[in-house]
Amino acid sequence: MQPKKFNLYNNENQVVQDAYDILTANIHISNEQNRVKTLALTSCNPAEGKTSLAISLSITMANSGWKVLFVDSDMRKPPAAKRLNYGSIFGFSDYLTGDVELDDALSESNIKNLTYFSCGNSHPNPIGLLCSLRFEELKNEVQDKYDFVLFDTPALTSVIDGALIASKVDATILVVKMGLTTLDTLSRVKEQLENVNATILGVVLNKLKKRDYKLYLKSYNYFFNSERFLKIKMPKYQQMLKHHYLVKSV
Amino acid sequence: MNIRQIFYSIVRKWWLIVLLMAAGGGMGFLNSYFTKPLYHSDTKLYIINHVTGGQLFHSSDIDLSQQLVRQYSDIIFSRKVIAVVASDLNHYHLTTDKILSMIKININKDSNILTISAISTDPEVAAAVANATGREFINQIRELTNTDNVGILDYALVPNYSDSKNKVEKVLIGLLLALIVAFSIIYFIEYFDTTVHSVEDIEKGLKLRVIGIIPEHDISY
Repeated sequence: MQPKKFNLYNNENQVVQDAYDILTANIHISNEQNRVKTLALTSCNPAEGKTSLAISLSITMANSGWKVLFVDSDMRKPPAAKRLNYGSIFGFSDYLTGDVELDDALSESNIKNLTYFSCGNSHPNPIGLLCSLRFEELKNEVQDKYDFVLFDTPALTSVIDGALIASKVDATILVVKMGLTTLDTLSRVKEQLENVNATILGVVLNKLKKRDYKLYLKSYNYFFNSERFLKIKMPKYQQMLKHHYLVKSV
Repeated sequence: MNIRQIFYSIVRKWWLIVLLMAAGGGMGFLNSYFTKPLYHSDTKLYIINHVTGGQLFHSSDIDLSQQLVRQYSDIIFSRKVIAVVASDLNHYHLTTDKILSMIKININKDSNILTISAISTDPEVAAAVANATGREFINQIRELTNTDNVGILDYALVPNYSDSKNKVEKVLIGLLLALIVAFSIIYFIEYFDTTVHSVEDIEKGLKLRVIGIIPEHDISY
């Protein structure tokens, strides 16, 4: 395995981290009897935040204790444009062409339980690769090794890759950016996915502004201020004592 | 599109409303600041078809007077009348075109009264023009028809108040127009915006489940 370090995307913002926890929990709840192993993340338009969402989600899943494989199956972007690819020599496309075996193509990451599969060197015919038997082989092989396999795919309105992958995996998650994706596009994409017999697990609304986010999670910051809980119970002199103690101990 | 959605988008676009209202109010203020107030002065004339020999008025005489009013009124705008008015008032340095643009006549339907209004930024000029035009009109009619049918009922007085709207009124009109424009812009933006704005849009419109809501990564606590 190749070594891989994630410097990015590890959310330090507690609100965002909580949001990903909720998403992970929802995926877990809707996944009865662990039937869903392979997940495709796709969106209608490019730049709706698929890749960052996919990486954050896989990090959150890995932190929850599942063994996660993140597959960058977007073979359209030039490899040089991908920050994450830096450091890995072989990847997804190299495996599909048969140049390398799976163990050599995967990258071990600095996050526990998370394995990274980079998109690999550029290949002229990504559709051919995705239709090959090798893709089925990959699916069968990783299904036993990992709890979740996440495929990050290109946008559905630009190339067919996303629909191809969606038709082959267990479930698909649609990423929708608030205020950018139109309902028309969304319903067309939904139809497209249904036509290829993809299972849509659900929609993730991405990049909500604070005021919109508050509509759905009104008290998202309730637990951030732990003083709130202490103040109610503690009489004033005890607080003073505690403060005194804290100052002293520091 | 429901009322709640429109209300939220109005709240969201508050800056547009403030911007446009500032612009509208400012324009109203500038408009009232830079335009000179207009004064408006009237001369009233009567036209009567004189009855000879002390006979009683007939309704046909009054009809005839009303017809005369309509016929004579065009004479006011003749170059002959205006040229004399201009030379009478040469100390004000008015051209004939200027005088033509200043005066207006108003025929009261079903009466034989003719009102000549003059509008000017100077109240004295307005009154002078109205009076001179009325006087010259009477002279002209006398010359043309050799009758004494037309006379002055009221002389024009120098007006004390301008009839232009005052500053507060203009600013208020500007604000109101800006508000209307802002609301219609917001409404149109909302009307043509078919992007996803809420979880309900997806769940109701597409029958898809929303399994996650992720805020912007730089959301504050």
